[in-house]
Amino acid sequence: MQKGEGYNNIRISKERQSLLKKYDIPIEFLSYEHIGKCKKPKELERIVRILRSGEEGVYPHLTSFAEERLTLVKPDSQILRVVKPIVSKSLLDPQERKELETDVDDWMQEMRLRERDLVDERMSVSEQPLPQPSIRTTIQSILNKSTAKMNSKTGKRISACDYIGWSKYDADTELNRMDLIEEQEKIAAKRFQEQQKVNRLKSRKETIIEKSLLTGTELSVMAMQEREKGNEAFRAKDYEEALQLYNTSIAMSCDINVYNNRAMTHIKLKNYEKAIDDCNSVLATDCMNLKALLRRGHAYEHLRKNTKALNDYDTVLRIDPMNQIALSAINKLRASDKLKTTRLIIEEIHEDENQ
Amino acid sequence: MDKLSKPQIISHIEKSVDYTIFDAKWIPCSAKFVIMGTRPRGTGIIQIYEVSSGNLSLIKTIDKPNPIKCGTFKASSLRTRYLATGDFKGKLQLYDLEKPSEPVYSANAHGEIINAIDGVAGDSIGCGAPEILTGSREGSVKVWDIRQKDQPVATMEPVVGGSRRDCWTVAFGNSYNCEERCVTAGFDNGDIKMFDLRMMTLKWETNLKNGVCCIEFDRRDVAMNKLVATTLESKLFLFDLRTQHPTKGFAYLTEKAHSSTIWLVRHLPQNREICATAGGNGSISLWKYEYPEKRYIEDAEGIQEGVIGSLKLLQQSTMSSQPVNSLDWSPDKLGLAVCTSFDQCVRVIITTKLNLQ
Repeated sequence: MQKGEGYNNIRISKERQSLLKKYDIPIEFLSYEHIGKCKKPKELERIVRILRSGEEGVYPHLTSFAEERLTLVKPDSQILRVVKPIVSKSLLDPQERKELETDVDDWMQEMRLRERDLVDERMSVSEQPLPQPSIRTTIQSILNKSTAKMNSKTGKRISACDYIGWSKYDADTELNRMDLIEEQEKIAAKRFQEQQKVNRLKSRKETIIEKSLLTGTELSVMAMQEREKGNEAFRAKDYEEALQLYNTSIAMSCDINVYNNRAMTHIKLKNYEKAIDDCNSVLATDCMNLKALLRRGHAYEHLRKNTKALNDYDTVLRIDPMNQIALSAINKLRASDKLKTTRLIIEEIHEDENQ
Repeated sequence: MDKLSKPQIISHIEKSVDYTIFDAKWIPCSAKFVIMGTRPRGTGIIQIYEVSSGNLSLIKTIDKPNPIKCGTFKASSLRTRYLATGDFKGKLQLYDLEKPSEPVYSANAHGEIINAIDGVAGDSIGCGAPEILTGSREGSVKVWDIRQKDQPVATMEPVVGGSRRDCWTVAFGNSYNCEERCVTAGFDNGDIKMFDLRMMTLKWETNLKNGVCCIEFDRRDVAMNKLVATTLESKLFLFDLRTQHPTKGFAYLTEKAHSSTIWLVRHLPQNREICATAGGNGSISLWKYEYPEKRYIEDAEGIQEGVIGSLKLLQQSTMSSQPVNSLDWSPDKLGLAVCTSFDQCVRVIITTKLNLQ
């Protein structure tokens, strides 16, 4: 007999469907054999739900077995999410706790210094306010404008018994008319999107920075924000946008990391010359910067300046002999060089034979 | 392995207070934050705390006649760091926290409680004028420029005699240059309306069929990228705002979480792809958005349609038995946040391993 079909359950199912019926899963599926073999994530989720509900009886081991199976089949399933209580500081192991505390304390000290700087600098800066865009002219808008357009077509409906009306009705012209409307709508839609794109391009960000009016702390904080925004745009593959943001950041304060990031953005945008310039700026301050060397090498490679590229990769290997990127790049360059030289030799022999 | 790479939410400091807290905000460029709320006898209170060696030290207590619902520093420069607040009587006030007895700016903004406040362009250049945005129970949304006394610079309100919906949340966005700017408001009937402030037109609207508790752009000062909205009945919606289809609007995804009201969503200031949501069951969830291979597709006519990526749950922790009603990430320290809940407790939490994400 089916387990768990006791009096209680029958009463419940009269009021509302049991999960088993709702999901249409045969009771035989609630077994180790079936669950162990099941590969359908949806079905497993349902089985876990049924087992958890206890409607068919409580089987703790089978439930955990089904949950384990589900983690194998679909690790990110929503029903496997567990809410843990927040980790309190006292529960961390002593080492971790100490690290955390010193980290926060260091940060606090840094913030205190920065705050003091802000106050000191405020005294030193001229009272002249920052140039700001003008105040918006007062505007008002109404929220519940009825946006639903009146449909002109609905008024012209011919009633079923209006025979004269129907005899005048020409299906072909009507179809043509519908096509035409559809086409117009499509054109309008396209124009709408093009307009949006034009707007976006037209209103590029052009930031004029009056460095003299800003304090050092303000500039460095803003430059860091711009850099972070640039990094986000880069990760989202909006390289043009990232480039603009890095430009602003560099205009505010020169940081070699930003030059390095901009070099990578230039490489992605295939502006190899500019990438090399940025790498040079980094290397001018830090000649051992691995990232800059690797990026410059990469850019040289694309410009077919193989000797210069090899040079950069060699420098990288001198600093870090096990650098995988440099090693594979050198191998690739050497291989292509060999190919060229061998081809030349063959040609020479060929010519010799001809003679 | 899994345990090592996953971010962990750690409760760093806990402190109980003897009043109800409505909002908490970090003071930019400092290890201090303010909490705002109401005393049991119905007056307003602002307190400033500083994080110092594993403890919170009270710096200042400021008493105000009206309970304070919300506040923001987003419209003030690093130089001034004025706190803009909205209170139960509909007043918008701007305080210098060093001389808080008299407000620097004050306006009778709304006839009823200001539910939500937001600011933009305070600490950045080239993003237009600093402005403050308020949304009230009376259904109107107003934009303020503190250089203009008493009058808002833009007002969006329902028609006279029309139904007035309670505005629960407001957000600035798309402020990537001096002209462009967007305002988004969420209402108790599930409406979301997005206005273009430059053109003063309704750019987009939708209905989520459920009260919208919180809306936030992933960043205010970039060309609008993503928007997250949370609702009364445990759902969150994420919209990709890069591509607007003329009929289908923005591509979106939904997630169910917290099994109760999702009170708020806050994006990490250091990484816009990560956000935290806080729920009515006292839990906090950390999410990470992953972009799709291609962010839009083009149909045969060349009309673009957005493609949505996926949202991954990084961590979920219960913090309190009461709803978490405010959370603010520190703009100066990755992973540090202050949050408050209805159990009259302030918590400073630290989330580790966020940089690995």
